[in-house]
Amino acid sequence: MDWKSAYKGMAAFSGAVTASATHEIKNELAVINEQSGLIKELLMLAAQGREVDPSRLESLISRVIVRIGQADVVIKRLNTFAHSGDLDRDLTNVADSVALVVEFYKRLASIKGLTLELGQMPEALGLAHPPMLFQQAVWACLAGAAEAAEKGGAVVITAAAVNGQTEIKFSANYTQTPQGPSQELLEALGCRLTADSGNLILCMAE
Amino acid sequence: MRILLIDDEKELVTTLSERLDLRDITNDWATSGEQGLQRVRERNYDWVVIDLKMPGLSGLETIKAIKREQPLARIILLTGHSSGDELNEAIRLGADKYLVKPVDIDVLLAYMQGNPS
Repeated sequence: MDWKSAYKGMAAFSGAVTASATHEIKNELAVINEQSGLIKELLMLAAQGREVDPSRLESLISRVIVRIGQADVVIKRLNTFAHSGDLDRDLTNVADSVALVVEFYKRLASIKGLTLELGQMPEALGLAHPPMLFQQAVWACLAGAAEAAEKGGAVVITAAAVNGQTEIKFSANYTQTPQGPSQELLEALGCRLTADSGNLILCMAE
Repeated sequence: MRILLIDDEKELVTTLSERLDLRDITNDWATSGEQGLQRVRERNYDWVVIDLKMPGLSGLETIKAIKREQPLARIILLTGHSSGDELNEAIRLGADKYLVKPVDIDVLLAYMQGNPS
């Protein structure tokens, strides 16, 4: 893979992940903004002598705490992703990497009317590749699967060791042949891609 | 002034709706483009405040359909970070303005009342 293609592919992938995550955080902040604004307005009314139900305030404050927690989950996920690009990391845990990318892609899948489900995935499966390169391939498979899958359905993602190789399978009812990563990325990872009407399979050496 | 709020984030539209109620501003809300379009078919709105990214009917598709039903309804986009292309397309379809979330309710209302900051 020439460096320009590699750089462009990685930049586009990192950008897409960051855009999706920051959009989620923005949404959480927007809700917190409205809820805290309403709390302030209700307290102002109470100060003016209007009757305000304390349980309404309690419920709003509880929801603010929940939404802060949800935003924090996305930020932690984004931080994990950022560190998966650390230069000294050249081994990938398949289950962790797939789960991370799936979480990032869920919002985009939902906009396309799809759900993503993580199926069986052995904890110990590993690959001798930098995590971000593998995550880029998983993202491309999810994008291809979401484009080709029947709307309203689910894409189920599983992984298994098969004959000394690692297979990551994206199963759905596909209305067209799903596409995956670029040939250059497949070559960089030393993997191959197969697809039919029910599966998109990324197959690589362990 | 009657406002319709459309966003798939239910807690956002219901809370914003409650804040508008406190200001005695008539409003309705919907959590999808389809539901929003249904509201538009039932009554007239002066303003529609809409999210761009929603499952099902997208924000852009919804704006197009609303403008067909109610050409005089004015539209404000509430968005996280969107690409320039999408925002330009929304403006081309008839949206008046876009505001980036989180939005100050007073800024939103000032724009609607003709006093944009």
